[in-house]
Amino acid sequence: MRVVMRAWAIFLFNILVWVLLFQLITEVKISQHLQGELELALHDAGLQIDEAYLGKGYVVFDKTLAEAHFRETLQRNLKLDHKLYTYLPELEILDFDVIDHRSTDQFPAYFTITEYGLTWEVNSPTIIAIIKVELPRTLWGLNRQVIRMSTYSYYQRDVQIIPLNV
Amino acid sequence: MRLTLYEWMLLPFMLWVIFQGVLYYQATLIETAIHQVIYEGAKKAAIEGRFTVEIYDQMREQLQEKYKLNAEQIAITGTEQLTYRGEYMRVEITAPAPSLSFLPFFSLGDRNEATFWHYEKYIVSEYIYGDQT
Repeated sequence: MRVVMRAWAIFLFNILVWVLLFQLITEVKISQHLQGELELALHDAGLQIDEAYLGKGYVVFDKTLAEAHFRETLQRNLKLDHKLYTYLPELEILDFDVIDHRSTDQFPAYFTITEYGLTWEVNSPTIIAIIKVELPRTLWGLNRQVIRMSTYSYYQRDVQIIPLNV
Repeated sequence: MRLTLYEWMLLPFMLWVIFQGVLYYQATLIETAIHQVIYEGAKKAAIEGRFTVEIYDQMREQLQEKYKLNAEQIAITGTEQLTYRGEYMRVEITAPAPSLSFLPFFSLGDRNEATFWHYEKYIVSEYIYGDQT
């Protein structure tokens, strides 16, 4: 009897190790892929700039259009439906913000997320997005979250730009 | 004797646990590599306004040289018509999937039949009319 119990214990331990390994690798994979998809979507959002302002030397994002393109690219590339849901996991846009020549008088500007206590410096017109995915936990029924953040910036040459709002 | 017999019977499961994870991890790395190549190729194509043979070749070359995939089995198609700024371009890549099963009796489906991964991505073109890039 002890022999049988020991054999079963080894077998179940093997299965447990495999499931945990599978889960860990899948989480890492989803995290890496999300970063790439986020950057691609931000690229598309970053192209939505106001041409009238661009002619005057300012980069001003059309935020509504940029967000629409951001969502559409995510939907197309991640095969999501219009609510940004796929069957599993669920994707949520936590933050989508722009810092451009209209929203700030001078660069470097500072972007803050109070929820996570993060602040960082932005040296040129930038779009920032944060997305979250809830991963179903294979064991113990607990959900895991993957949160990714990325930015898309326009390179600004070292020239004096008169603030737009003055 | 019985203990030894039981432990020998467990050997396939032990081998499966050891190698299956490694195979899955390797497959994950290849999948990530394919995604990276798509992202890089798509960004180059966005600047040019279309996917060109040179971009396809660069993508294939990267997958072959850095990630040791068989370039002949990689099929890439994309938007080859000139696409102007703000319009979507599409790229599709089909690449051979690595083996995901270590022992034949754990595998599902026909082992002799090669399986392929298929990915489709979209990106907005940056090309401006009259731009000679």
